[in-house]
Amino acid sequence: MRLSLLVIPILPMILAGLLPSAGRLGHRGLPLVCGAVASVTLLLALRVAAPAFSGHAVTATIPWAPATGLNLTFLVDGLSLLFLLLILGIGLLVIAFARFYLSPDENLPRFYASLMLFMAAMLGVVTAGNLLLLVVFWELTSISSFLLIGFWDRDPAARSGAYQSLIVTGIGGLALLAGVLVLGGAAGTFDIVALAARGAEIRALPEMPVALGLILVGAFTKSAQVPFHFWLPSAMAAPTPVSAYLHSATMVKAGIFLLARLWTIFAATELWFYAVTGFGAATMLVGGWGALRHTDLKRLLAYSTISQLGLITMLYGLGTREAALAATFHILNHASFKAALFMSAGIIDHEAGTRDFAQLGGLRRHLPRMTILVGIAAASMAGIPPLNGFMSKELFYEATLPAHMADSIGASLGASWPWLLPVVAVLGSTLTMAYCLRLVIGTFFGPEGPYPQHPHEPPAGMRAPVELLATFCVAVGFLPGLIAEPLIATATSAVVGAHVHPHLALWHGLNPALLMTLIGLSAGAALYAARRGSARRALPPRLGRTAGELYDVAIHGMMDSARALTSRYQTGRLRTYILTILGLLLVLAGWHAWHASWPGAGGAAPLPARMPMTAVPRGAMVITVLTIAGAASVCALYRHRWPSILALGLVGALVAIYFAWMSAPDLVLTQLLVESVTTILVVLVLYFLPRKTRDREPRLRLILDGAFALLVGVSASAVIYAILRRPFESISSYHIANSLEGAGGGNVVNVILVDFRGYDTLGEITVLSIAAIGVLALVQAGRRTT
Amino acid sequence: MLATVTSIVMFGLALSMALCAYRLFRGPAVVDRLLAVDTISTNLLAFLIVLSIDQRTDVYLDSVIVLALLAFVATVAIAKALVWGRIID
Repeated sequence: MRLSLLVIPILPMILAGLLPSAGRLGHRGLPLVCGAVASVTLLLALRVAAPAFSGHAVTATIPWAPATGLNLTFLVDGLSLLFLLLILGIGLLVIAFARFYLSPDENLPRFYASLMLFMAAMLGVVTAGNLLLLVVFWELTSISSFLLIGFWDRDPAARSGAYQSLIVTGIGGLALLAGVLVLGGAAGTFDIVALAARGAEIRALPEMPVALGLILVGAFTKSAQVPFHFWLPSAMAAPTPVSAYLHSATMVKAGIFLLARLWTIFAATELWFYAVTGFGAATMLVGGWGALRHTDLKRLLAYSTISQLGLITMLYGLGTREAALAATFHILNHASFKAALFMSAGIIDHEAGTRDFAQLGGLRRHLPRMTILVGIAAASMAGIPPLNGFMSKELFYEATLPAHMADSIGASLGASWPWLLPVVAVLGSTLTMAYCLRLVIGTFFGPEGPYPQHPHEPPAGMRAPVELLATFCVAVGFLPGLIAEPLIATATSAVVGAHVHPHLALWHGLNPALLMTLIGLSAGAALYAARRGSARRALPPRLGRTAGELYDVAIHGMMDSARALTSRYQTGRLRTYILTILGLLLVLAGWHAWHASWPGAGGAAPLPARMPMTAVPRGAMVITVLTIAGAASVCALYRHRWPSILALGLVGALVAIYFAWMSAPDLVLTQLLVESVTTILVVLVLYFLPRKTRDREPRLRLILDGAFALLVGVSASAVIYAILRRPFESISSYHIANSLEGAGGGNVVNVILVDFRGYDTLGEITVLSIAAIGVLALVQAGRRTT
Repeated sequence: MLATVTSIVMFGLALSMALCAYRLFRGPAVVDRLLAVDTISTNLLAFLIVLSIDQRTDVYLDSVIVLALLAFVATVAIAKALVWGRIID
C-alpha cells in the first residue's frame, strides 16, 4: 500500500488553491512555480509508480464512505502510467508555452490556478481505483475545463463555448454516474481491480446493457464522439495553451481512457463492439469531413481531433489485442503531434495576427522553422513514414483486416463483409491526408495572404515546446523499440489484462497494411487537389440540421418555454399567490374528506378521554377568539395603513394565547418573538412605500374573497378537529429513545434538526445561501451604479 | 379555590382585552389605537402569568419575558414612525 500515491493528484490541487492569491509572482514567476510543481509531481509519480513499469499495479486505499462503496482508492498500472506521463509531460510544455503566449496583463493567477486544478483533476481520473472516485474527478475536469474555456470572459463566443461544453460534458457525467451506480449496485463493488477480476460474471448480469450504455454516453460526450462532438469546435474560443492541453492531449482523452479501463470487462460483448466501433467510425468520418469545411485553423484542428479520437475509439471497439495495441500507441502519438499543431496554430496567430486561411498563405518565407515543424507534425498525423503516426496507422490498418478480426466478437461481421472495416479505415485516412495537406499548403505555401501583422519568427521559448514534440515524433519513428515500446507494451498489457510483447518497427514488409497506406495517401492527395480552389473558402452548410443546431434549438426552446410558463403564474400580485396555494390546499383536504379518512365522519370514534389541550377556562377562550376575529376583520376591511398594521400585530399576539391553549409553549415564545419583530420591520419598510390608501375594491370581489377565506378557515378548523379526535400517540418517544445512542446528542430538538431531519436542514441552508448570494449580487450591483 | 380565582382573573383579563380591542376599532386617532394595542400586550402578559400559576408550570415564563421586552420596543418604534416618519436615523 503506497499512500504516497495520493500525492499525485493532491499536489497540483493544493497549488491551484494557493495560486489565486499569488499574483505578486508575476507573469514570469507563476509559470515557474507551476512548472516546478508539475516536475516534482512527475518525479514523484515515476518513483512511486516504478513497479508499474514491469507490469505490477500499485494501489493505495483509504476508506472514505465504506457504507456507500466510495473509498479513496488509487491505482497506477501501465495505462495510468502512460497517461500520467502524457498529462504531466505535455502539461510542462503547455506551461512553458503559456508563459510566452499570454500577455502579462491577463488575469494570470486565475489562469494558472484553473490549469493546475485541471491537471490535478485529470491526474485523479487516471489514478482512481474506485469508479465513484473516478466520477468525482471526471466532473472536476468538466468544471475546470469550463473555467479555462471561458477565461476570456468578455468574449461572448468564449462564454457560449464554455457553457456548451459544460452542459454537454455535464449531461455525460450524469449518465456516467448513473451507469456506474447501476454497475456497482449489480456487481456489489465499485473497486476497479475487483471488477476487472470478475469480467465474465459482470458480462452475464441482466443490468449490463443499461450500465454499459450509460457509461458509453458519458465517455462519448467527453471524447467528442458523434453526436456529441459539436462542443469541441466551440471550445476553440479558449486560449491556445488551453486548446493544446485540454482539447487535444488530455481532457478529450478521458473518455477514451475510461474505455481502455473497462476494456477487460466489456470488450467481449456485442453491444460494445457495435456501439463503440460504430460511433467511433462515424466520428472519424464526420470529423475528417468537417476539417475540410472550415477556414479557421483552430477549427480544422478541432475537427481533426474529433476524427482522430473517433479512430482510437473505433480501435478500442474492435475488441482484439492488436486493435488495443494500435489504439494505445495512437494515444501517445496523437497527443504528441496534436499538441504540437495546436501550439503552432497559436504561434501563427500570435505572429501573423490571424487564423483564417483566407488571410494566410506563403508563410514559409517568413516562418521557415515553423514550416518544418508543422510539416513534421502534420505528416505524422497523415501517417507518412518514417514518423510515429505512420506506425500507429499501419497497426490500425492491420487491426481492421479480417485475418486479425478472427478472434473478436465481430468475427461474423469480418466474415460476411470483410471489406467494410478496411474501407472505412482507408476512407478516414484519405480525409486525414486531405486536411493535412490543406493545413500545410494553405498556411505556408501559395500566394501570400494579407496578413494583419507582419510575421516574424517567434521567440525561442515559444517555439521550444513545438520543437520538442516534433523531435519526439521523429525519434519514435526511427527508434520505436527504444523509446516507445516499453511504455506501450506495459500500457497495452494493462488494458487487455495479459502480457503483450509488441514489436514496433517501421518496416513490416510488403503487406496489405502498407498497400492501404499508399492508397490512403494518394487518394487524400487527389481529394485535396480536386478541392484545391475551395481551400480558401468555407463550404456551405450541409443539408439538414447538425447536432450543434439541435443543441441550440433545445437550449433556447427550453429557456423560452420556461420564461413563458413562469410569466403565466408569477403575476406579482399577492392575491393570485394566496388563491393558488390555499385553493390547492382546499382541494386536497376536500379530496381526503370525500374519501372518508375523516375519523369523525363515517365511523364514530368517540372523543378521546384526554385531549392534548391545556385547561383554560372556556369563557376566556371564547372572548379571546372573538377578539381575534374582530381584529382580523379590522385588518381586512380598513383601508388605511395604521389600523391594519396594528390590528395585524394584535392578531398575532392573541394567537399566542391560542397556542397556549393547545399546550405548545415553545410556539408561544416563537409567535411572540416573530410578531413583534415583524411589526417593527413592517413599520420600517412603510417609510419607503408610497403614501396612498388602498383603492376601494369591487364589491363582488370582496364577497368572493370573503367566502373563500371563510371556506379556508372552516377547513382548517375541521382538519384540526379531526386530528384532535384521533388517538394521540406522540412521535417523541422514538426520538428521545434514539437521540443519545443513535445520534450522539442529548438535546433532542437539536438532534432532530441536525440528524433525524438532516436533509431538511441541508435544504434550508442551501436556500439561505442562495438568498445570501442574491443579496450580495444586488448590493454589489447597487454599489456599482452609484 | 386557586382554580376558581385564576378562572375569574383570566376571564377578566380576556374581557379587558376585548374592551381594548373595541378602542382599536373605534379610536379616532392612530395614537388611540396604538395605546390600545400596548394595553392589550400588557394584559396578555398578565394572562400568561396567571395561566402559569393555574397550570403550576414555568414553561410560559420565557414567553412572558420576551413579550415584555419586545412589545415595548414595538410601541416605541411605531410612536417614532408616527412622529417622524422614520424609525432609523
